[in-house]
Amino acid sequence: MNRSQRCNLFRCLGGLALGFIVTSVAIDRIIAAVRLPDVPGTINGPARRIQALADLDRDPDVVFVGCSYSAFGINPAVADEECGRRGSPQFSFNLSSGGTVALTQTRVCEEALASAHAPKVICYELSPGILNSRETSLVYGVRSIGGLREASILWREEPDYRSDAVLAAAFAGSNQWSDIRTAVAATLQGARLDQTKYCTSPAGWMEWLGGRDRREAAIQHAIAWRHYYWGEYRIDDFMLDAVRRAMQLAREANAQIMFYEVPMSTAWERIIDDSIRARYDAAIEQLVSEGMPRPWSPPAGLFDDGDFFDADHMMPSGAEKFSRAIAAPILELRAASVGASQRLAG
Amino acid sequence: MPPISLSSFVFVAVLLAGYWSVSGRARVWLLVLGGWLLLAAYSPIVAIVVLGLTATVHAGVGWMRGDGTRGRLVAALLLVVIGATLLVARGVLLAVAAEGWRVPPVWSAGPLMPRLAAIGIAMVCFQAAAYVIEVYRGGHGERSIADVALRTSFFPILPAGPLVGGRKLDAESIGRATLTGEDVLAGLLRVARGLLKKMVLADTLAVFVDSVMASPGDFSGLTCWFAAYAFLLQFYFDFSGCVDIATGLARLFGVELPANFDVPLLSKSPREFFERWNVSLTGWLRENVGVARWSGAAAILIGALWYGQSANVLLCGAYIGVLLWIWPKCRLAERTTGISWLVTFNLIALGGVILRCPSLSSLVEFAGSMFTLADGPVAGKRYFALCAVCLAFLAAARRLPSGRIAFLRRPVATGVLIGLAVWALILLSPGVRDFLIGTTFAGA
Repeated sequence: MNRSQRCNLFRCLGGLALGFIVTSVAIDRIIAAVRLPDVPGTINGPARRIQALADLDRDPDVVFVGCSYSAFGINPAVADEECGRRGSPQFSFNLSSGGTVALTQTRVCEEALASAHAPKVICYELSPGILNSRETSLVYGVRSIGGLREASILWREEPDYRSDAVLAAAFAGSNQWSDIRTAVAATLQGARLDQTKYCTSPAGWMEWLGGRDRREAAIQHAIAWRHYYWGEYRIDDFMLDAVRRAMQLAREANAQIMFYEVPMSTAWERIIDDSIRARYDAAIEQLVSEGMPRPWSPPAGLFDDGDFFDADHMMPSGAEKFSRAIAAPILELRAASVGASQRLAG
Repeated sequence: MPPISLSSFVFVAVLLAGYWSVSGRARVWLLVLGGWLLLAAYSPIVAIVVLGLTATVHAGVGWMRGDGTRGRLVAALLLVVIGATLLVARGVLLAVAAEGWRVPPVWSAGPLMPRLAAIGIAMVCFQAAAYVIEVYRGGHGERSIADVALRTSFFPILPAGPLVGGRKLDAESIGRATLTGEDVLAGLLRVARGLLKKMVLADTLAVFVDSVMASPGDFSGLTCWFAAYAFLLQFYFDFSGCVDIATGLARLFGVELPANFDVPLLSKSPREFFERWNVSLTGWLRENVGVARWSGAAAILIGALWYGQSANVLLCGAYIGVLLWIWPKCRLAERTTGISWLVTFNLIALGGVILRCPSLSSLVEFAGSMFTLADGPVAGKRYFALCAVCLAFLAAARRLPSGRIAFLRRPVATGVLIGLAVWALILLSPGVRDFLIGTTFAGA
């Protein structure tokens, strides 16, 4: 092959690559605009939960604000029953939805406290994922990241773990993975078109999943990989500010706020490496030193891996244990609150 | 290794890189080795058979040179050996496929590997037989084992052809070939076109055809007519898509394959249809076997016989015979072009129904529903629209002067077209999830 032939070959390959990339990016953007239109207001899952709160016929005493771990892991009816059994009946409501982080959760708190059914106690979930700024950028940088990734992000906000399971199974089957493939798959699933199938009862989803899809280690790793290794784990100040703001909002509304951590399976604990755990612990210590109540954690040994339907989301059995366990610190908080008001009244 | 998968693409890319970094005999053997490896990946039995057949044909062809009687005898013996190989391999493949005494048809939804292995071994045997006949008829000079191996193991053509004869595929020209930018553009574009035909059009139509063929009694007569047209188009896009992929791949290896289809669906008589369908085999039969008038029908029947749906094939053969015999007497060809095309298209679609129906009883049920215009839900309007669009596109593309679309051969335009094709595959192909992710999405 002489010099001119080589030049011609490279010119053709260059033009080919250029045309291909430009077309792919353009179509990506078109799909993003056509199939995934903007939703006015706040993001999808929390907005629906706030609407559900507004539709209640009485004020809740307690609301739970967390991500999918709490959406699946807390059964308010069980927590209420446990509180009633201990002589302090309550009515609680779960505002948790999939894919939230501290920014989202604080926004949910703000909406809940400003609503006609403002709660007296807010239970606010904290976990490494909830303080992860990288997750935040994925959730909030929706329009700037690109259609494909946008699809996956919006989809992640739906607590539709049926799709999650299938994607993860796909990973286990092909042993290959990338954002693009996840996102294309999510796009193909019509990420935003699944709203009518949205189930407000986490227990319903868990039963569905538990009966159908007991996942294996490789799949659990796939989920972990997608959640935590999408990008570098990072905790920025604005995340901590969101937690501080939640405390301030509660104070201003004369509500109590309690922070709690959810249990994790042993597989999940292995996934969160020491550096992530250390950064998370340091952030919590910083907030505690500023006056934040130390997050409550369930007693060690209460859960086993059979309580989870994947690496980190609880089955109904796990949700039952967790909901009963969390009743105790809630009762303590409410008792302290009543004591303080009586002291003030006295 | 699945034929359309990331691993097979990587394999081809590595093979291409190696292929163009060497020259001469090394390049030829690399290509042959690639073919053997792919065959072994489909089925080790097929690879062993191909190796044995290649050695036998090479040795046999060496003995053919000499006086005429010995040449005739050896050629006949070789053809018997090739025929026997075909039958034995078919039997073995049937055992592997475990689907009874029937090779899974191209359009069936069964396991892909036995299907491809089945088609592959058939193509190897056709290529070997063609080579023997060409040598016997004096079409070749001195030929090495590399030439024979190349003819029997050139992997792009094994899944679906086309049949490559003469000097289009010889070791000497391959060893000297150079890769040009135009080869890359044309090759990739052809592969993309083939993938679109196969994975978007054919696979989409297959969904509809399969559901109607499975229980024709549940659908209206009109739907059955839609399904008949859809199957004809599915068959065409499936076959010609595979050939396009082969032609594009071959171009990337510097080999220019002959055209295999001349828009047969726009034919205005059955004979014209058969002459424009599987042109390479038809042409070869015409030149080397001397069945000029019936070459097209013979080519179709050879393919149909391989798949072995005995009763349907016999009926289809009889139907084709009647068509070819009766058509000139009807003087339809003298009527307007539109009418002759319409009648031809419908007649061929009926032939397709005969071939496609899984049994005679289902054929009777299907035909009954078609011709009585049975009541029932009319389904498949979207598929019918898709068929109409495809036909209109074929007609428009045939009439478009090549000068008008010269700009599409520029590098950037080709990149745009390939980008569009890839996205069409991603978004429209029913099999895309298998291809991209390796599983089916239950919630999709």
